[in-house]
Amino acid sequence: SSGEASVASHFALVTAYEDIKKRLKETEKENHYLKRRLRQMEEKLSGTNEKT
Amino acid sequence: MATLQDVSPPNNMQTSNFAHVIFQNVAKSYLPNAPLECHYTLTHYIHPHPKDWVGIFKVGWSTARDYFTFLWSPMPENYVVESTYNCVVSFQGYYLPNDDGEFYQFCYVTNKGEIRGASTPFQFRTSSPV
Repeated sequence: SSGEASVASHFALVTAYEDIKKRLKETEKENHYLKRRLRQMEEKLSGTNEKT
Repeated sequence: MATLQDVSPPNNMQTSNFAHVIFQNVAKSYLPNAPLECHYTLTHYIHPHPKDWVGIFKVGWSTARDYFTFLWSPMPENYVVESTYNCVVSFQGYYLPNDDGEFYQFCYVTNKGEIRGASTPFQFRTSSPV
């Protein structure tokens, strides 16, 4: 029936949405980590430059 | 009409009609134009039919006719009712979407057009992230 089809399509969309939401969270966490690493390395580099 | 926030996947995944077929080891992305093996398990809840099929659907599809491409699901050899079977279908590279930024998912569709399983989403990307 079309009712069941619409439930199926909604279920599949929710499945995809939940997974993409989880991945977004992981990606944001990695983005944050990489920005921090970059800042640390830039600070280290400018520190080295000041000494020379 | 319910919104996404109102409805979360049912807790009784095994008994839900939509989890009678479980897709295994679905990657986050696949190479476009490369053969794609789709592994899935027919649970004992489903009685397979030679005209059942596995489709690749763009996430957000509304009917089984919205498939991007499909393959007939092979009948398990020596099929015994109410057993569990692992199956594979191999999609040819040239039938697959390009690197188009869209999300897709596998769905198992019966000969009557009923959806019995949906995978987690994936993209087609020329350079996949680590």
